[in-house]
Amino acid sequence: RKLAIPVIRNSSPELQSFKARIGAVSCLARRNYHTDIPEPDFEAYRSNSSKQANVSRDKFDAKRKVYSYTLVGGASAATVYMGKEIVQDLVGYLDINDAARALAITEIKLNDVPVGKSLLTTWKGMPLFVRHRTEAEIKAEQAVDLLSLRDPQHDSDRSLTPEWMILVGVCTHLGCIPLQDQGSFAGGMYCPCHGSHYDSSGRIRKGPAPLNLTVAPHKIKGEYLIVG
Amino acid sequence: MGLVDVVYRGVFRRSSTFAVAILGGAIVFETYFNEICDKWLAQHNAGKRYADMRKLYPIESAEES
Repeated sequence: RKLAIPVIRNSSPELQSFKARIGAVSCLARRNYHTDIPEPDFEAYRSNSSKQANVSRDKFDAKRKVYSYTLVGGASAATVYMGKEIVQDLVGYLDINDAARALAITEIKLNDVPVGKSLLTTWKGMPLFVRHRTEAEIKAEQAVDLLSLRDPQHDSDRSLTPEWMILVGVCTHLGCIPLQDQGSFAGGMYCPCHGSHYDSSGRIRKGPAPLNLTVAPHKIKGEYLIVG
Repeated sequence: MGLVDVVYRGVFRRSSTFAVAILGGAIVFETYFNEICDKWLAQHNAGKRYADMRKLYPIESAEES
């Protein structure tokens, strides 16, 4: 059953009366080729949801358009992912590469250092002091009054755990390497060059050095200490 | 269909909601895409990766633990 679709053609009575009314010039009355071709019938291509004549087509947008939008959305998500990966990789080139990072890391097995003993090793070319402190040393350091220190720092700010003190073994005075387990303070360090005494937390107590020993950035992973 | 209408009207019609859905979809897509690609590559290169061979060469190091 075909629907009656009105088709306005150049030879139709409606158009001719309209032209007569507006006084159209004779060129408009010329028959053009396209009036011989019947308008094609697209009925077979219309979707079912748009064939209801009395209902607005907006109500049936979803069924017709959701397929296209899903494809576009999926492709866009994949493209967003690609763009993110590219930007991430390009920005990642600014970071140090894995080989250089490996050279800047020192690993120490914590079981190698018993309580009350110190270890001397290197990190990034600098001497590294690793001390496994005793309970007495920890208590003594935590009880120190900060006002009496030249470079006031609390002991708990200088290490992740109170037992492990990881310090860079370079005297802050003029750069000599202090001696561990020496000096006036139990578990502390003594620099033989100019006589600086550090306590077991690496803080300067006596002597010419202005600052505390630097704490090396470290983390403890299982039974390994990773410095750097 | 109800679901199609809800999804179209709620998400696809407005560009703002569509963009949010695409960004969320990209995040989800990334997770699953990375996982699937890793699994396929592992299966394609079975026996050649360090993870497959590490038991043959035990090394005492922090990365191993």
